[in-house]
Amino acid sequence: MNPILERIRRSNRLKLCAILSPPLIFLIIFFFFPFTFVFIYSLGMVDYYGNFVFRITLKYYSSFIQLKGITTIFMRTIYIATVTTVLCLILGYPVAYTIATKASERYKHTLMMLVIVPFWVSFLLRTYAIMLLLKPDGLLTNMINTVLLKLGIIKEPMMLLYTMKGVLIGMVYDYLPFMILPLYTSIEKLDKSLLEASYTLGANPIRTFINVTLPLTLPGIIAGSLLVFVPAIGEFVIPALLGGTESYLIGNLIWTYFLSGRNWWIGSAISTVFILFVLAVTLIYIKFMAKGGGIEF
Amino acid sequence: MYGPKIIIIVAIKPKVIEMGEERKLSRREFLRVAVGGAAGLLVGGAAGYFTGSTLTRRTLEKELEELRGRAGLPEEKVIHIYNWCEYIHPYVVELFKEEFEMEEVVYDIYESNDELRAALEAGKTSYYDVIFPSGTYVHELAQKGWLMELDFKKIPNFKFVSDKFKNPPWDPENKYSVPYMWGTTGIGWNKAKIEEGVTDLNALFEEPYLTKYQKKITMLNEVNDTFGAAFKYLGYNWYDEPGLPHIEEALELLKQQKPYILKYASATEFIPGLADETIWIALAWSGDVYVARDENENVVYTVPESGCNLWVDCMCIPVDAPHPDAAHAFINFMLRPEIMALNTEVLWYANPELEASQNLVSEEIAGDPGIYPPEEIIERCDLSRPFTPEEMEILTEAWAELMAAPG
Repeated sequence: MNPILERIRRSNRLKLCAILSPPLIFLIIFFFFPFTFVFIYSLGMVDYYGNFVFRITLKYYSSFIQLKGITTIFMRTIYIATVTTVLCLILGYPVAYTIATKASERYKHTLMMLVIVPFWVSFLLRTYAIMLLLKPDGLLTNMINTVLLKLGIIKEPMMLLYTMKGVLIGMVYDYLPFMILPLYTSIEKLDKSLLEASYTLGANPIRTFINVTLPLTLPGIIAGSLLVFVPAIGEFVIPALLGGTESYLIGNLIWTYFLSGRNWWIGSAISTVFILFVLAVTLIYIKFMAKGGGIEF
Repeated sequence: MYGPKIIIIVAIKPKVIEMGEERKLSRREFLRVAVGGAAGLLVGGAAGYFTGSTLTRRTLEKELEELRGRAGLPEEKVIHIYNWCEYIHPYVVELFKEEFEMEEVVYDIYESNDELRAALEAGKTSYYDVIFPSGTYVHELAQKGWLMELDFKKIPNFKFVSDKFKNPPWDPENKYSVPYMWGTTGIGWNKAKIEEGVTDLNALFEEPYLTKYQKKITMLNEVNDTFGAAFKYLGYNWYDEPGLPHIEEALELLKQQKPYILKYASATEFIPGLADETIWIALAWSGDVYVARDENENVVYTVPESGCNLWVDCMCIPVDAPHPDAAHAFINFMLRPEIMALNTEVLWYANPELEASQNLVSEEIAGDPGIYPPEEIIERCDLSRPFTPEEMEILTEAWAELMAAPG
């Protein structure tokens, strides 16, 4: 046999490299390479006409740091992304758990298909649909208001469209399938015998859930949270369509700079800082959660 | 053509000679004339056809081509148009397609000048043949070298445009653009809900409107229009003062207003918003408010008494347009008074061919002060002029700061 293939067959590490190389190459071409362009723009190494200029300046970074209200936008963005992720987790876990454990083999696949079906419709159309439902006399608004009024939580009907609440509803609606899918795969792989063992040793269902099920499904929770948090934090379409004046996020700011402001330089500076921030958050999150679940990272 | 002449000479001449002799016409002679005539007809016709028609056909074809050139039937049978959404009579494109025998008409739409510029920047200068930028953007696009110089030999209908709209500040010799529609950025409001009525910009910036109609007021998502309204309310004509010296004041005013407004809306948001009464007062473009009025008769458009932004949308051809002949033909077609009137009827926007098409436009529109404001008000309106790059930077910073501000 070919000596190279022999070495790959024997070394696990080389096997890993070989398997990862196609997606890695894809990422390098379509993500890393364009990102270097953004980075170069942010350092001012491109002039007004798009030609490469050899000089480095940090003025665009300082420009955007000095922008009044930048911290507010930042905090707002993190807030919305975190709340979306938490809500998706709270809503998505029961759904994934029920389908994975309680549904019979026949229906499991149909049910999971139903979770995926919204993706067949364009994301923008779905957001417009939610806009119609959240209008002052829309179906969803009426439903939510009636329930909350009956429960006495609110005194008068509240407006959902063009508010922060509307944005959150839209975000959860759009990102929920991203949470359900990884959770489902993780829960499906649960070894039922471990649960049995837990019951035999005297734990009630709640303790079993907290001490056995949750830690074992942690990979799914991590994957789902990241799949929701990372895109949500860069989201600008949903806040632009469903949000009012207080839903201006980092994504919208970058959009304004690139589009109305024709200022690709400051836009790139904001993008770079933001990408590095999200990268840092992701790494910390994985390390933190992995430790809790006994996963080596 | 020549055939009949030959027949007449061949058939009639013998008869004339014989008539002179006063002989009675015998049956044989009659037959002779008849057969001779028929044969002459056949021969003459055939000869005429074969010799004459090729000559005719060739001259006819040359004449046709000349006519086609003069009538503007372009060689190219494809055209790509890029226009604002809902900014043309839906039938006009069909009319153009039929009359000019187009095979393919691609009609794409955009929502803002920024979108147009972004598309051109991304390389669409070599895809679209006709674009519709607003006046001030024409200057910027021309500076960047993205616009083709217009060949007015192919646009004879330019003569119908009123002198007021020729040689605008952003294109002093009309090298790159011709005007299409013009309008004002005033206030669209709901006369059933606003009991105080709206006559001026105070409805957007002052009490009691702000608190009473909280979250029912919108401004525009365009930098020029929103800041323009602020400057106008403060009493400044920002087009007269280079460097935008009062930008801080305007920004403060807008920041104060921000908590009371619903959002910075685009046309696709404030038109349905006004129509279904989610929005009661909106800084809006004239024609769009009339579209909302079609759906809800309580919606009214008012040009503020202290004046407002006056803008003109233009037609231009990108520098690398693939079908320039078709593009010129389309622009010429659109400048026809009947077509202008047709567009005005359906869009409720004023057109720049005042004398020609005002006679064709219905009384309802021609007499509406919201669409064709009276002279005194137009005096107080500011015709937009292009901003310098430094001014643009100041504006963008201010806009970003406004967007970031709490509210």
